[in-house]
Amino acid sequence: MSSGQRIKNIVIGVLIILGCVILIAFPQEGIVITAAILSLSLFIYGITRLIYYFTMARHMVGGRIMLYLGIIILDLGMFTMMLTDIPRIYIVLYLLVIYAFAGAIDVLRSLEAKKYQTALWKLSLISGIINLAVAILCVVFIESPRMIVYFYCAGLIYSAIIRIVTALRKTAIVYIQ
Amino acid sequence: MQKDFHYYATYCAAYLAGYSHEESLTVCYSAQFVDRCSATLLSKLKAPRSAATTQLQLEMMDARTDRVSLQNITRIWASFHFLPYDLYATRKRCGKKYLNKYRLICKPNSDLLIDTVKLAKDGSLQAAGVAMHVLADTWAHSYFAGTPSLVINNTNYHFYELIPEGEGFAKRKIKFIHSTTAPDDFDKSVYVNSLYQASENAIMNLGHGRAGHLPDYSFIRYRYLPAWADYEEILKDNPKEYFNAFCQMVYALRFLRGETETFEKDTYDTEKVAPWESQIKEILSKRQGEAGACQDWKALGEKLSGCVIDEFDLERYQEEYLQAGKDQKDDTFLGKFILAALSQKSMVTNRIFKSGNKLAGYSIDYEKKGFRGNKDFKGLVKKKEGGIKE
Repeated sequence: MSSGQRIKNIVIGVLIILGCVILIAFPQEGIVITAAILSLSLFIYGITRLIYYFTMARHMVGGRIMLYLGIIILDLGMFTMMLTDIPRIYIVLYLLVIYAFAGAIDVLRSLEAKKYQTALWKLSLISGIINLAVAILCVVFIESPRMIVYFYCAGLIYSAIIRIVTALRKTAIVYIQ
Repeated sequence: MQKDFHYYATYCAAYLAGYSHEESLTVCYSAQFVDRCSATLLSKLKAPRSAATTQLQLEMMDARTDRVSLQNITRIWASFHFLPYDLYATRKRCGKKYLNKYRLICKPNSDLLIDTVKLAKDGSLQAAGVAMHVLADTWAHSYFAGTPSLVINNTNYHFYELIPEGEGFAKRKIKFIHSTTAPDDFDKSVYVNSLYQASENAIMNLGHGRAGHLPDYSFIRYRYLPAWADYEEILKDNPKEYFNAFCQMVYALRFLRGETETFEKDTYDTEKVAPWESQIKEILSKRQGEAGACQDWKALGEKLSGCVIDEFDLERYQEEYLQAGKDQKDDTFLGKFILAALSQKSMVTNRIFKSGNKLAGYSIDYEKKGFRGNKDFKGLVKKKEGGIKE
C-alpha cells in the first residue's frame, strides 16, 4: 500500500467511526439516515457497475450483461432514494443476511482450523457466535429503530477498525537478488 | 494438477533426471506440499504465515476483497499456481486496470518460468520441488490468472469435451453443476465448477474455478471460450500438454542437478523420457480420477527406481520443525521448504511490481533500501548472509 492509500484508508476509517458515533447519539434520526445510506450505496453501486462495464467488462465474452445490471441497479437506487419512508423490515433483512452469512463462515472456518489443530479456531468460533447472535437480535429487536441503528453501526465500526489496522500493516515484500 | 502429477509424476521426472530415490522423494514431497501449505497449517507450526503457498477453501471464503487481501491472494496464486506469461502484454483499446489483470494470465514457457527455475538452481531439493510445482502448473492452468477476475477467468455455456472415438473425437457438451460434495461424472461430462459471481474480485472468479477441475485432469480435451479471448475458441489438449510438462520437468531437473548448462524456453528432454513414452502417454490418456492416476504413476515410479514410494503424508515433517530450536528451524525439511516458498513469492512479486502492476503488492529491493516491510521475509536476509545451509 502506498503512503497515500494508507492515509486515505485511515481518514475514511476515522470518518466512518465518527459518523457512527453521531448515529448512535441520535438513533431516532439514525434510522432514516441508515435507510438513506443504504439507498445511496445502491445508487453508487449502480454507477460503479457502469464504470466497470466501460473500463473492463466490455472486453469480456458476454460482458454486456454488466451494462444491463448497472442500469437496473442505478434505477433501483434512484427509486429507493426517492421513497420517503423505507420499511424498516428491509433494513433488518439486510443486516440479518450480512451477520448470518459472516457468522456461518466464521463457524465453518473455526471447524476447519480445529481440524488443523491451530489455536485460531477459538477466535473464529467466538467471532462466528457473536455474528450469529447479532443476526438473531436483529429479528428480536425488529420493532426497535434504536437497536437496528446500533447493530448497523457496530458492523460499520468493525469495518472501519479493520480498514485502519490494514492501513497500518507492513505489507511490502522484500526482494533480495 | 493434483497429487498424481505433483507427487508421483514429479518423483518419476526427478528419478529420470538422475536424482536418487531419497532425493526424488524430497523433490516430489515438496512439489506436492505446495498444494497443502496454507496459512492455517503454518499457524499451527508457528511458522511465518507469509510462506503460504495455497489457501484452504474456507480461508478463501473468509478472505476480504480489499486491496491488501487481494494482493495476498494474488501473491499466493500467481507465484505458485498461475505463473504469469507476459507481464508487459498489450491489447488494443484496453485500459491499465484491465491490462493489469490480463497480464497475469498463465501460460507455459514464460520469462518468469526461466526466473523460477534459475532461482532454484544451487538451492535445496525443496526449492527444486517448489519450482517443479510451478512449472507443471503453467501447463495445466494455462489461460487462467492467479487473481480473482471475472473479466479474465469467467467461462460460459460454450464448453465441449472431445472424447476419443475411432480415429477422431466426438464432441460432447459439458454440463457444470455447483455442488461442493458431488463428484465429477466423467461418463456424462458433468463437472463441478464455482458459482457465477458478477463481482470482478469475487473469490469464485479466482483461477480456473469457473472451469471446475477440468484443467487438473490429464486425460481431458476440451474447447471453450475464455472470457478474455474475444470470442475465440480455445482447445485445451491436456494429454499432450501434460506430456510436455513432464519432459520439461526432466529437462529443468537436469539443469538443477548441473547436468546441463542452461535452462531455455520450449525445450523438453524427450530423449531421457523416450523409453517410457508410451507408458506415460497411456497413463495421461486414461479416463480416470486422481486415485487411479496416482496408482498408475506410483507403479511406474517404483518400476523406474525399484524402490517403494511412500504415500504423501502431510504430518511427516511437522514434528521435526516443531521440535527444532529457533536457530535450527531453517535447517529442517519444512524450514527449507518455507525459505524456498518465501524466495519464490518475493521474486514473482518483484517482477509483477516492476512491471508497474500493483496487484501482487509492493516489492522493496533489499540492495537499494535495506530490509523493510513484512518481517516474515527476514529469513531470506539470513539466507543471503550465509546463515542457512542449503
